[in-house]
Amino acid sequence: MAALRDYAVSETYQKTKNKLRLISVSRSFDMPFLIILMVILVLGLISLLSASHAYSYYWNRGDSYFYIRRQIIFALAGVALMLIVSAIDYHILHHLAIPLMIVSYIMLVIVLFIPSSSGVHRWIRLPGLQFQPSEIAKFALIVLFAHLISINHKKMKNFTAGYLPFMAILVITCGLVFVEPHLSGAILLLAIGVSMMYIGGTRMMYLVLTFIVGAAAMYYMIFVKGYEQDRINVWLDPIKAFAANSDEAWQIVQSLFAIGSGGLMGQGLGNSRQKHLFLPEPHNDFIFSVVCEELGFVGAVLVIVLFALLVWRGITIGMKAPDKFGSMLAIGLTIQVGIQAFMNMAVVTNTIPNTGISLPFFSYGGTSLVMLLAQMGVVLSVSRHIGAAE
Amino acid sequence: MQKGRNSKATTKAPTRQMWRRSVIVLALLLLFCIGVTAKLSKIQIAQADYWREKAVDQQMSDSITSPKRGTIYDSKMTILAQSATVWTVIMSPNNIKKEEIRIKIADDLSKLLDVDREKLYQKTLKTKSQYEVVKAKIEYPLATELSEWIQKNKLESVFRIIEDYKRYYPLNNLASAVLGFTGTDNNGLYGLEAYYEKTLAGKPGRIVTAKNGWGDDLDIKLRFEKTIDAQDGNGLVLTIDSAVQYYAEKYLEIVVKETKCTNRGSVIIMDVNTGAVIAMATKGDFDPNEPMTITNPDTLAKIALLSGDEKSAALKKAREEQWVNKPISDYYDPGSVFKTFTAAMALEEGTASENSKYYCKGGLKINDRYIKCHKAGGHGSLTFPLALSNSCNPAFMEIGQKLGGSLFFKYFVGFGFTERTGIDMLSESRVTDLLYFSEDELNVLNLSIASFGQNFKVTPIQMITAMCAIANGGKLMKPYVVQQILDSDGNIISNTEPVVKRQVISESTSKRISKMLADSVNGGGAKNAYIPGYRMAGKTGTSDKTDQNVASNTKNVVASFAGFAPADNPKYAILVMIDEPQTEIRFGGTIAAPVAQKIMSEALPYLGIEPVYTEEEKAAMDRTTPNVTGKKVSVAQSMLANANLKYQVVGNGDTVLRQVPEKGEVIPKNGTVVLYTEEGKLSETTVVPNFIGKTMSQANIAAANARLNLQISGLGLHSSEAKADSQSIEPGKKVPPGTVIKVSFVYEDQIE
Repeated sequence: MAALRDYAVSETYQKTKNKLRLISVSRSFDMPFLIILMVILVLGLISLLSASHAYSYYWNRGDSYFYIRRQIIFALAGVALMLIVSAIDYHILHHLAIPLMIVSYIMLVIVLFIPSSSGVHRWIRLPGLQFQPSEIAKFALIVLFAHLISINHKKMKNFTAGYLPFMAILVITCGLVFVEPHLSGAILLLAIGVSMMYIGGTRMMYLVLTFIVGAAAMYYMIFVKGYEQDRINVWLDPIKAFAANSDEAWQIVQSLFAIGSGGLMGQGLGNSRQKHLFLPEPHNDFIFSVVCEELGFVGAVLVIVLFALLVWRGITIGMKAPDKFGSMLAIGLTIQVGIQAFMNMAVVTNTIPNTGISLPFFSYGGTSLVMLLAQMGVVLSVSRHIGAAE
Repeated sequence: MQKGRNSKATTKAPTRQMWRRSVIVLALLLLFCIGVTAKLSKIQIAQADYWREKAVDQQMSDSITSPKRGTIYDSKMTILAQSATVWTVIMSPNNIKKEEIRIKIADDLSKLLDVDREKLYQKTLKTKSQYEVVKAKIEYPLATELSEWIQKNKLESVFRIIEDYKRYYPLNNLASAVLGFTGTDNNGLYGLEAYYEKTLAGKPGRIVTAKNGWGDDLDIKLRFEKTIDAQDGNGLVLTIDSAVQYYAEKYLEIVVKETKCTNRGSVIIMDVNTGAVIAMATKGDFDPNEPMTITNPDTLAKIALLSGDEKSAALKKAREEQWVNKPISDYYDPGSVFKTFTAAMALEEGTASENSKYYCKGGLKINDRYIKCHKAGGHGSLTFPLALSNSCNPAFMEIGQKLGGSLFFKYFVGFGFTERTGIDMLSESRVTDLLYFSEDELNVLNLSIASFGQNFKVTPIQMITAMCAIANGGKLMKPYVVQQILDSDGNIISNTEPVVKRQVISESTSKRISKMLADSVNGGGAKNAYIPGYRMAGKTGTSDKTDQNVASNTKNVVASFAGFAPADNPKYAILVMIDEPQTEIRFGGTIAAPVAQKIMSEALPYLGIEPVYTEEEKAAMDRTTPNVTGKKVSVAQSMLANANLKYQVVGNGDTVLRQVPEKGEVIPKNGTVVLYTEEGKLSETTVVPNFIGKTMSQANIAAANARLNLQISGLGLHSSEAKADSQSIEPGKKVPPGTVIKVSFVYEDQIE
């Protein structure tokens, strides 16, 4: 709360308050970023059409287009929202940073009490709308961290100002997501948070020590307590676990079958065999496997390169941003997409142990897609202000 | 811009450190990218085949379609072996979702298909499996019933009924040892079925169907299916003629039964000029439709007394024994039949001629051994042809000795007794020098014994192939049973051309020996093989099984006959070999030669050989009764006299009301036709006497006394010492006078 008071009186805040204009269309946004994003989005929709086609056919009484129809509607809505958001001055988020986090926490707590048959509490379902509070928390965390870094940037080297509050927020957020349980969400939050702290100026030593403590804890959990041992075994030898009938291995092995059958050039768009009920959720977490099967190594590398370009462009926007808040926002939001995309690819290729994580702009999920596009709108909004300080 | 960032006026802008650290984070992310890319290249490029293969395994259900096995025909295109469509029931237990369905399947299908309920239930529990054979090879009505049951219970995803084939042998036992049989998966296990497996089998086809993760075929809109048609097998046209094969088997079976022969018997009939096998019979045999069934009742009775391992071992042994194609797989001592070859060698080398003279005093002493002739007291003085015809052992020892071991061995090799014949059949016996005397081993004693066919072994197929060389002008042929190979549409793919292996003896020697062998049949030692009009030539043999370690009078023998016809222009050769007859009289001349005679007297006319009768034969030939019924007695009398027939008038009428035998019946020359002229005399009968054991003249007297006509079968002219061994109408039966009774005669004098 001290930080909050500091912020209220801070020079930056006062200045931005004075200059804040809600809508600003006077400058154009970063075109390359938008183009890369649109290419990814279109490619994602095409992939979803192919990947969800058979699955939808079996699960929606012969309607092959159930998922893609909804996804296109959400994508159109998302793009519209993105353009609207890009026109809004991102500084308004200074005001929303704390309320957003508080709302996130409330929802993260509520979600734990929503009955769930599977024992997994990740979704809040309202009529016509369903979303994961952890997704909101991710955005809230990025905004809050950007906000805190921008107002505290001179004291970021301090333990009390530049490490402790961040760490506290991070631990609480990750903790709440972890107990859902949603390991991948927690890992993603952690990776985003730590990256932002690092860029924001937190002392390297603190981060290194934190990393050592974290690594030691992980080592203890996995190798001494035997926590997540199954997941590790599947990762080390999926075929063996598959033979032993492990459900987790089924997913990963089916994914490897798909990717491997793609070979260099792929089976051709629409020709995946693995999407016929072999791959679990071919339209969701394992959509990249279908892309690999249909478009081959060449297509997979194309997708990776597109995401790498997006990350590069997003970080570039961050570097050129007129202020630290915009900079951290653009960087945080971009690396969120990057980390999530590359983690998803790493999971489906069994590069890292399996943890449910979707591929941004590809995986089916309307709310999530709209939220992602809105966040990309924030990045575009930041890009509009490039050069404004000069 | 860098400058601007560092200036105090723009302190809000990202710092240099932020810039640096962003680049590091970006680099780390790109590193992560590269890691994923590296992993992708490993999976998609280095290991692509490995993963693809595994993926295809689960994505495709692959069913094999059986090709139709080729048909086997005889030389007249009669079907000997044929495959017919049957159905095999396959279950995919992985598609059974509920326990009650498992129970229903086990209950219903165990009854419907007559399978064990518990075993079937266990199969339904194999939830990983998509291929369990419920029952193989069911026939059409059952398959229909089953498919109705499947539809009624909506179990189409669980069961598949796939086409398969079953092998049928329409003529059952006929040529079974030649044909062999197939196993449950339609592969040839024995005989031609095994030897020509690649030709007959064809290539299986495949139906590859894409499945989804639930194991179902892809829905109609998403279907993917690829069919590779099965390629049907080629057919075989054999040289074997099933009619001739039937004659051979018929008479062989009778003799094997009558002589209680313990080691089966064989007959081979071969085209002497080509080496084509016209018949190849083995008795006892088996039914290739049921090859596992033991056919010999004695063997079955013995096995029934055993139990456990002993029983199953005995069953296995008995099966394997009955499957053996004896004519090519078994060895025997040829005995006196071999004298034919010793004689041919001597004539060819000029060490003996038709005029050579020998003296048999009942045996010959060689070194310390005294070797007896089969004729006690000896044959006395005889010429070379008589030595062969009477099968004199001492004479042949002398002939052999004069020829010498090395020449003997040269021709022994020449006639093919040291090699396989190379017939296109499975398991022709290997021929090693353990079976015969090598050149160094042919000392005086061994040479002398070998000269009359003892102490070495040949296979029946070797023997008949060599006999063909005697008959055909000296050429050793390569025997064969498959004349043509046909593709599945019936087009000829290949045709077997006769192969001459070598010229063994000259054509003139062949002619000279043929004449001697014809004389041997024509009143000599092989006279039981005589067929009027066909000039059979041949030689009999009765060989001791010298390798059986028992006292010489209880030793088993092999009784055989090998010969050919017609002697002046040989066409077909026959070998009859009866292994271990158990009757008192067990000479080749008494039991094997009559079999050859019976088979050939049916086979030769069938095969289109025209009989050519000598004047003597013509004179003795039977007559056909003319129709005299309804004629005046005087007219009838003159008609019968013209036909060289006698007559007897019964009653006092002047018209013939009935004649016995009736018109068109065959009666011997000088037979009596009884003419009835009064209604009241029509029911007159006479009692058939017992002819068995009588000589021909005794039988004639008995027939005349009973006012019956005697038709002699089996022998023609030289029958004074033959005795009757069967009659067509039982003794004691009442028949009209004049009825023709067929009586067959056989020589029982003790000749080899």
